Amino acid sequence: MADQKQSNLNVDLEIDRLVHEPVRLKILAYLSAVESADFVFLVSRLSLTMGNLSAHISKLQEAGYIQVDKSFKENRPHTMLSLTELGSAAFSKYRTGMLQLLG
Amino acid sequence: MSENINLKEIKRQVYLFYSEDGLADLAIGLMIFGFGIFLVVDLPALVGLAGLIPFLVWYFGKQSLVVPRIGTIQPNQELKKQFVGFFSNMCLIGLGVLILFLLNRRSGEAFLSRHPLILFGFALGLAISSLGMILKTSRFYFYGLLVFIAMAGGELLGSSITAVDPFLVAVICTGGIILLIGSVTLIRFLKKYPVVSLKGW
Repeated sequence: MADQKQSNLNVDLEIDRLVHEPVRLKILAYLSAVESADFVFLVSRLSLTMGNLSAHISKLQEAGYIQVDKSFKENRPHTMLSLTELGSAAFSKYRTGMLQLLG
Repeated sequence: MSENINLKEIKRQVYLFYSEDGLADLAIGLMIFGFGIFLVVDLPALVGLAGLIPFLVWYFGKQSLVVPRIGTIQPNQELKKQFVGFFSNMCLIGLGVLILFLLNRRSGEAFLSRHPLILFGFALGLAISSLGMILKTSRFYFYGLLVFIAMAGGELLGSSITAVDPFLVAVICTGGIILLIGSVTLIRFLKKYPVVSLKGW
């Protein structure tokens, strides 16, 4: 038991700060559970303002973690978001790292 | 300031997209209610409509009421596999019920040949409960049980007790109860989620 605790403390964890931020982590978690989701879905689930969500999405998009497809549907703007392979790998790595750290 | 991040809860929230609005309940209720009504008014040829109308209600309801409020998602491979598995299992169960029915029919006096609708009720109840399992929505288990009890009970009571066929009364009442729960769920959903305005965005 003590050895286990000691080995957990010895984990050299490299934290991706982009993923570590709670809202962005939630965005990645939601997108990891679907093929793609639209902007409104994330607004309704995360209870964020559109401006706030948009800022986080821009950061994730710049890092290449999510793909953003903008279009018009019945004269309404429609934005679909999906996790890229890079984003999926970053999310998995973060998750594994945290599990390793916390045992 | 704290943030709760629970992956299981996030997954559940994604699955809720399919059942939170009550449209699936309305579709199931309409299907059962319509099935009973078409048989009562002696129009068995129109029973097919009892399948088509609920689908249209679900589809157009989703597009006009749900998508503007909580958006839309495309299911991932895991969920797609579950849906495909569900429809394949339902086909197998349907086939199994048909084979059991035909085998029992040959034996003439067998219990199930005298009460084939018990098998139908069991298959339908199982289908609704399985859907509840996939969508992680417990009220669908209740619907499944209700459908089975109503159909089996109505069939066992037979038509000798009342002038109206108790099977049809049970089916219509069951459909009505599910419709009522679906309507209440839909109203609560509409109150909880206002339309998200994307004007000027």
